[in-house]
Amino acid sequence: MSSRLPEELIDLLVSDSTEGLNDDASASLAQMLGEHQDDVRESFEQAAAIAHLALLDSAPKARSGMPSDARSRLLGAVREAGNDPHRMQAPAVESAPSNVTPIAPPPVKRSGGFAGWLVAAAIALAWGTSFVLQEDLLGLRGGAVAPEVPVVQAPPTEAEKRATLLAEASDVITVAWNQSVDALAGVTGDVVWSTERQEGYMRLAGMPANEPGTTQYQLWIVDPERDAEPVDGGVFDVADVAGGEIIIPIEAKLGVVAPAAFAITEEQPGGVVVSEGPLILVAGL
Amino acid sequence: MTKSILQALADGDPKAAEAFLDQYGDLLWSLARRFCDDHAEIEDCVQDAVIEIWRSAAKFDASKASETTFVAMIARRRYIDRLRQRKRRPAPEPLAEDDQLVGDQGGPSLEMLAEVEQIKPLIAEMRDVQRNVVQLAIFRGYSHGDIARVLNMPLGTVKTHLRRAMLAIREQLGEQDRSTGEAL
Repeated sequence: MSSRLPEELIDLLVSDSTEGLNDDASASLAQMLGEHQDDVRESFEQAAAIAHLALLDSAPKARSGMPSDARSRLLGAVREAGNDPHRMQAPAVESAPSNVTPIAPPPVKRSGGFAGWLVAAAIALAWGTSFVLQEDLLGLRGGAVAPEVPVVQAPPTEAEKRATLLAEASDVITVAWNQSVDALAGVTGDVVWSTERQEGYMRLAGMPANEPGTTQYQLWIVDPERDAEPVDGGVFDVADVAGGEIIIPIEAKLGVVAPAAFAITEEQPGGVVVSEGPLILVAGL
Repeated sequence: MTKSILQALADGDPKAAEAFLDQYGDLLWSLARRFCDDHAEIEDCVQDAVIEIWRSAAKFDASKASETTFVAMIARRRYIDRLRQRKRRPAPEPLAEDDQLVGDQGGPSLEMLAEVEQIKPLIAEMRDVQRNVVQLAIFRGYSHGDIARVLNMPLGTVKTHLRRAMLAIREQLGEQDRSTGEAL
């Protein structure tokens, strides 16, 4: 095979084989691999594994033997399972609860080109900046290191998570929705985003409800420093809340480097990989 | 012809599990050690990997990868998945002294695997900054965001270094179908 892999697919494969993917990105990868060879993912994992072995081989001090007590316990577990791996239970993983529902992978749609997005970014940039930089009150190390949450504690709401991000992320930006089609002129709210944590939330008030079986809203993150094409920020629904405020978590499928604008489009159910627009609501820096 | 350890595991050989731990226990422990915070977590990671390798042993295909590479691939996948499930990682920190590469000292190798020997020069030739990124990502299991913080570089730069390194490694291993030909 001599065809080149798309950049987005390569980025997903590299992330997959080094840091792992969230459910949405994993679904996107599975869908994209459907158009390519099935063994591509394995080849990246194999490359990472061989690199790991090479690094370990070159750093003898990093090697250590399995302690005899650990080996004894493991052998005991094997024997207890009657030498049947399917009877062995994998050790439980302590994790923080999550209430984010994965979004189905978007179907592929033919590209309408990148120029429109670059123009949109330029327009959005012209709208000016609305930064609110928060102090790092707690001096956290970063988004990947979450505090332990007791099992008995209810998971935080999106509003609470948004408030936490505003309070704790040192690089958080707040950008108001500042451009829209006429039909959404009454929509208010903003986007908060932390590039350091790769975490953000949309706040929307007055957004019309969609019919999930017919259309869904999709967020895009315009990031010219990363790529001409915007990053998929996730598909979402808006229920009829009589003009009330909703908060939607941003689910960036790829790493965001320097967002210039956040834009919403209306798409077919499940969303699209490449949008042909139009942008119905924009928060431009 | 002697059966491989993975074949023996797949066939339910009662002695295979012990032989497997003799052969690969230290490797699994060493791979997990940099991904985990403490002894108990390392042990859990290794047990999880052993179960998954055992269940997947029948899928081992010697024409695609060596047995050691197969074991390392499955172990890494389990370790990465567990890290993601825990939603936390070891505190980001620069590379420890124990992680410093010393090159070929002529001593006994982990295992004289042709593919490992193929990759070592490539890693040695990388610029320091790229090698550090690769070490933190692959050796330590750091997220790309953590690497950006530890090395004080933009996230996009971290991803670019990793992308180029991974494509170069695949190309070196003979995967010449789909790389973009980016230079290191």
